[in-house]
Amino acid sequence: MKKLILSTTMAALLVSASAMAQVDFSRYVALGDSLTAGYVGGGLMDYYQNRSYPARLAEQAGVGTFEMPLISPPGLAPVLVLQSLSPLVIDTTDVAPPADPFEYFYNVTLEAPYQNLAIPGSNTYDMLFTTGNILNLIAGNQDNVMHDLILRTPQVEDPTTGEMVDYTALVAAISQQPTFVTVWIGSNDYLSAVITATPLDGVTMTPIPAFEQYMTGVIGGLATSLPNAQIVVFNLFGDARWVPFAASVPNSVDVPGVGTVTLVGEDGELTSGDRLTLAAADLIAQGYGVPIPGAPPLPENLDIATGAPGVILREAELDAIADRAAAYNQIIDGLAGQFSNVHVFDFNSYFAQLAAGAYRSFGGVELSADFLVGGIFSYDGVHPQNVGQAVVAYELINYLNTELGAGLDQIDMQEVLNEGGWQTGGSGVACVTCDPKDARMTRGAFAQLYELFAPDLARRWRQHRPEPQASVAVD
Amino acid sequence: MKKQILTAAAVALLLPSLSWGAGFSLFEAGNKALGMGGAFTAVANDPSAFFWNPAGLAFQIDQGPQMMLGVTFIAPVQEFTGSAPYPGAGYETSQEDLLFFPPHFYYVHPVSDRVNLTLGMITPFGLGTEWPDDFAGRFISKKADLMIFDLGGQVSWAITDSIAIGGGIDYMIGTLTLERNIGRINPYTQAVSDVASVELGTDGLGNHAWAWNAGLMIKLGAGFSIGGVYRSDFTLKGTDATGKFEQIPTGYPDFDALVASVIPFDEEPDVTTAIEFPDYWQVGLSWSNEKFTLSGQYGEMGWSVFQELDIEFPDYPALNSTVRENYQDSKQYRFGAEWRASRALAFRAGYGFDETPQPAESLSPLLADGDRDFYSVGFSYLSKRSTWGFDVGYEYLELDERSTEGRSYDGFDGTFHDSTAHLFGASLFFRF
Repeated sequence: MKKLILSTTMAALLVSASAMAQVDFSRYVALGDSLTAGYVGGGLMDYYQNRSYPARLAEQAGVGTFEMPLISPPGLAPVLVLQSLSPLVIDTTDVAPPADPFEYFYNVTLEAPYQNLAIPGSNTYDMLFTTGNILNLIAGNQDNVMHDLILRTPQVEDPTTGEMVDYTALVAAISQQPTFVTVWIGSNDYLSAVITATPLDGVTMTPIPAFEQYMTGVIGGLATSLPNAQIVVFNLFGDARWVPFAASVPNSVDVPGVGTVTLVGEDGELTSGDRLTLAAADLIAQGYGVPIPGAPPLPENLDIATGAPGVILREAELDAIADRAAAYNQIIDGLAGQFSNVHVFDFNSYFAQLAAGAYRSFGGVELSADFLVGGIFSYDGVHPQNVGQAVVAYELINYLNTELGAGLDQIDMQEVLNEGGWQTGGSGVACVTCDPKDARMTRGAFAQLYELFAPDLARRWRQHRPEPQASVAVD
Repeated sequence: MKKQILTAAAVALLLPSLSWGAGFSLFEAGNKALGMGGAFTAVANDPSAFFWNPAGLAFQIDQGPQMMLGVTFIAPVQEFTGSAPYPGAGYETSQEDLLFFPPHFYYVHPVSDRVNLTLGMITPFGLGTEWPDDFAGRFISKKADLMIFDLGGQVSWAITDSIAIGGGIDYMIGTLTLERNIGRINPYTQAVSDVASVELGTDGLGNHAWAWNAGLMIKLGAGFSIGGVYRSDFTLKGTDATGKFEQIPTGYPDFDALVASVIPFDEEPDVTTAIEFPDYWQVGLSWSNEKFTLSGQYGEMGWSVFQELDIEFPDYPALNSTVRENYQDSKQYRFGAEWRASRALAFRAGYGFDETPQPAESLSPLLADGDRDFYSVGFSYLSKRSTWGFDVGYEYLELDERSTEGRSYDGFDGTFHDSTAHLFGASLFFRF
């Protein structure tokens, strides 16, 4: 009997201990890409940076210092606005950037590293190897603008060895000795396959062995260099069909006097399992893909020579991307399982719910992954807008509270839903005389998005570069 | 092209769930019973026995033909404090002032010295909630109004001087109004806009169902009586109902046009639904002498029939929805006392406890129920020749504070509190 009481007491103690386990948020660093940077509607801008999920988490957790590479309106690149729904026109804002770069990038003179170290456009390789230099940018070279702007210094001295080491995002994070880290990296290891409608190993998708190698460097590096920190790693979106960029343009079109016709690509008529990207809308408006004599077919795939993207994701290609996502996520799960301080946050499952229209409501307001009216995605069809960022923060906080006993207050979604975007675009006046085929994401708007996810033509042999170090600790 | 992109996208604009609450039974069938906390199943000595125990009518044959009509006014209040994530901590509001007045009417006619026939009209179920126009939960419910009228006929038979049975059939008629707004993220502002208001309602008294009831009463001697009543469940099929959608301009005409392409603003589509109402039974024990009556009662309601609610638009299947309710059976306890101070005057008091059938997840602006405690008082006057009289009753009802515990099905979390109601009614009766 006594034994029984004792073991019951022990069990109660254990339960309360796990419930009391807390996360130390005193030094929080966020690593990632555009999704973590708060890149919204084709640009990085303070309004959305301040509403990114890491910023919201930092606020809820009462993190003292959470600095970001803030950029003045209209952002870098200038963010997109909705000019009109009918016809659908998404274009860049006409707000001009400040002439003075120190006003434009007003947080660039901050001496210490930023706590949001997410670099738009970066992938797992970049997190390990790519550095930046603000002097490049000042000299007018915009080739590596995001790294230059966010990391700013190419090398730093390792305080223990005195050697100069590359100041990558990972090194910049570890050097701050954070107590808590979030990492959402890897989307750009295959998103280019979606944007170019061309899954091509080594070009638009990081090969699986290379991904494993880089991810080992990222997760292993963080876990071993920061043994006392809690590290939360996001898994990656499982299906391109969920991304509005590849889920919004229908496979058929109304031709006046003819009716609804199925569009045609270079490899033949589209089938119901195929998807067109948003970039197709502009081409269709010009007559591409319409099965009438003289009309050119829609381009299927990336033109390696010119870099021009394809716009058709055939079902097999979509499946290949989904398989790749599953392989990446398996690698993430496997790596996280090796370290007790690394936890996987399954945002992919919420993304799946959003895409299926099965996500929870907030006060009867239903959100979904639908383009324009779903409430989650911004005008580029790839990045979440502020409501979408808040949903990420909401689910992350739920996860931290239930799995790690973080005890954080949740964000106020009513406030988020009522807040709105930075700028209201067009007037919404219906265009009664214009041709309904005019629907388009302007070439400028697409070019801007494409730039962020450009296929890896220049770096396609990257996997032959030197092996990454397992640990890149800077004490 | 545009149209197709937008139509594909506009699936998100379709109607989400239309909630319909419950825990909406009414026990205000007579003001004598009201004064005794409803502990009336083993008493059942006025025409409201039609509701509380039809067997009791068989012991009223010596009163001759009787008629009773009355009303009970119900004035509920309720406050709400929000929690994260929606509508957020610190959000506070309260329901609009409301007044309901479920009526009752009975005519009792002896056809022999052992058999009474009774016609009655009561409102065994009803619900009314209303929140301010700018209420954060307006996308779930702004206003709800449900009334079930029971038109019934009963036969009561005193088998012996101390054993009676009774029973009858009920023709249930329902009226319903539900109002809410539809909120969607406006693609221009990226904030929520109210794009439409919806009113679902019956146009008349066209929705009906049949139910039945039975009761037993035994006088045990030495002033003791026991009584039991059973009222059957029924399913009200709302077939005579329509939806009225009214567009709320957002200031962006092409967004409005997109909304109008998926919501039938220019017609009133038919709606069908089926609401399952619970059965219930009560058993009671009473004791009386010349001056006093004491009564106690226990009952259960089969609310577990109310698991979900399907709302269907036969012509617009995309607007169909199913609402989870997941109610559980509930118990109630009632205690009452009467003091007959004189031939003409009687005074009453009562107390009861009614357990809520509603789980925390389905608490909503449409209906947020809680365990109820109620305290009542009342008195009666009987005319000199006993040909007429009246009963007056008052009850104060208090609902427990209820929290959604962060699990609201509607994504509307917080605490419903300070929920109380004052009930006041009068019944007038005549003996012919």
